[in-house]
Amino acid sequence: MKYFEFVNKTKLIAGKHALEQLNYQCQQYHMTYPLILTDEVLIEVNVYSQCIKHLSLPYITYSHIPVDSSIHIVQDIVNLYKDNNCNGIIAIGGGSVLDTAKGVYLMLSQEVSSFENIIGFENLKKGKDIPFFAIPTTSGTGSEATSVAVISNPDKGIKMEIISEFMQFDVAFIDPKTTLNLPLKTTASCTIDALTHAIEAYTCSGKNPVSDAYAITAIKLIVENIHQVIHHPEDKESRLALAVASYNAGCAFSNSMVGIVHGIGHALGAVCHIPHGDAMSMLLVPSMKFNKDQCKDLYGELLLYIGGSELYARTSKEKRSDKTIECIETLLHQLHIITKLPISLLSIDDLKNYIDEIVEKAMNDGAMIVNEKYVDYQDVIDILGGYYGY
Amino acid sequence: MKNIQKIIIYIVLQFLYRGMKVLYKDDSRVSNELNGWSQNKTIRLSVIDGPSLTIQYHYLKGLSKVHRNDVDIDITFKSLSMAFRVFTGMMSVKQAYLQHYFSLKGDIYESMRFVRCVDLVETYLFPYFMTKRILNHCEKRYQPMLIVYIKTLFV
Repeated sequence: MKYFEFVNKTKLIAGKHALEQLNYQCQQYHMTYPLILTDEVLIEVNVYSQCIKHLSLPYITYSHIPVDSSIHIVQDIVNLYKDNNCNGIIAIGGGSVLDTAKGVYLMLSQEVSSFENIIGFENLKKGKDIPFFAIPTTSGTGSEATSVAVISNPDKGIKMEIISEFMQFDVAFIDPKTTLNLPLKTTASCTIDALTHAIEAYTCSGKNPVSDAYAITAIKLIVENIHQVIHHPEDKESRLALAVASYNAGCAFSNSMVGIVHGIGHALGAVCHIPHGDAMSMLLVPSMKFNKDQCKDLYGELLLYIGGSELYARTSKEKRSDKTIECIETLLHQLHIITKLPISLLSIDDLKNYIDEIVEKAMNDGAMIVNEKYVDYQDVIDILGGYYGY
Repeated sequence: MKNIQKIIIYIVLQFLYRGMKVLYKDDSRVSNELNGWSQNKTIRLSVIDGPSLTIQYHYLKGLSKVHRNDVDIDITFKSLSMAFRVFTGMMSVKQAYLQHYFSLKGDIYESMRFVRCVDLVETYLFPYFMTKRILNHCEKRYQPMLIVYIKTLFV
C-alpha cells in the first residue's frame, strides 16, 4: 500500500431536522454573534430564512456573494467581520459561498492582511480558532467537506487556489430542506459533479483505501437516488441521500485529488463561462474513454456500484470498464431528456475558437498531474475535439 | 548520514538549476513553458534543515541564481530524507506531490510550468531506467545526454 494522508475534521449533522441543531451547536462552539454568508438567490427562494429561523442569537448577514466570487468580496467580508466584532462564521450556500467563507475564515484565522499570503498547497500553519459552520444548499461541490478553496483575482484575471487542512469547517449541517427546491437541471448538474468527484477520486493517482470507501459510498447513494429525485423532486429521503453523497464525494476527492475531467472542466468553465456541473456532464464520458486503457480495472470495479450486482456478475471482467462507461452514458442521456442537462461539448457555441485557451489553462491545473494516465496538450485537444466522442 | 544527504541534495539542486538553464536555450519545450509565465518569476526550492536554491527567471532571457526572501513560488520539502528521495531520482515530483512531501506557497497554477520543466530536466540528467521507473511518461530527448551534461558542467 502506498503512503497516504487523510484529513476530515468536520462534524457532520445530517438528517431531516439537522438544522434544528444549529442554535445548540453555536452555543457549543461559543458562537454568540455570527456573521452569516449567503447569496441573494437563497434569500429569494427562502432557503436562507429556513436556516436562520433556528437561530436565536444576534447575527449579521452578508448576501452579495456572486457565482464567481473574488478576493475583493473576501476582503469586504473580512472588514465587516472585524468591524462588527463577530465571533464565528456560518456559510449558507453552494460552492461559491462556501469557498468565499473559507477564504474569509483563513484570512481571519491566519491573521493576514492580503489574500496572496495564504495561497498555496499545505503551506499554512494552524491558525486562530474561529467557529466555522457550513450549510450546503446544493448537492454537488462537496465543499463542506474539502480542504480546497478557489477564489478569483479579477485584477490578474486568474483563479487563486488554496489547499490546506486548516480551512475545514467545524460543523456541516445537511438537511434536505435546503435542497428541496433546487431546480431539476441544477440538481442533475450538481449530482454529476458529485459523481465525477467520486469516480475521479477512485481512479486518480492519489487514491487510497479510506478515500475509496467514501467514493464508493457516494456512487452508491447517487445511483440509488438520482432517478427518484428527478421523478419525485419533493422526496426528502432521496434529496438527503444525494446531499450526503456529495459530502462523501467531497471527503474522497479532498484526500485523493481529482483528475483530467476536473482539469479540463475548470478551464472550460473559466473560458466559456459554463456551470461547473455542466462541464463535468460534458467531459466525464470522453475523459473516461481517454483514461480507459490505464484505468480499465478500476472502471471495471465501479460497475458493481454503478450498474448493480447482477449486471456486474453477468459481465465478463474484460468488458466491465466499457459497461461502466455505457451505464454513465445512459444515465447522462436520461438526465438530458428529463432536465435538459447539457451533456455534449457540441452544445458550447464556437468551442473550436476557445480550444487553445482552454488547453493552456487545463495543462496548468494541478488535477492534470495526478490523473493516472499522462496527459499532454494534444490529449486535451483530442478530447475537446471529439476524438473520444461527444 | 544527514550531512551526506545535505551535500548530495545541494549538488543535485545545482545540477537541476544548471540543467534547466542549458535546456532553456537548447530545448524549446523548456523555454516555451517558462516564457508562458509572461513575466519575471522567482522560485525557491528548499528543504527544512537542509539546503536551498533560489532561481530567478528573467522573462525571455533565461535563468540565474539569486539570494532573496521575497519569492513568487516557494517549495519546501518537509524533511531531508523526503527531499533526498526526490533529488536522487527515487521519486518523481508527481509522486512527491501525491505523498505530501512538500508544501508550496504561491500560485499553484503557475507552479505547474516549473514542475513540467523539472520533469524535462530529469529526462536529460537521469538515466532512462530511472526516469522510466518514476515518470509515467518519458519525454523525448532532443540532444544527447552527454552534451547536456557537459554544457551543464560548464554553463
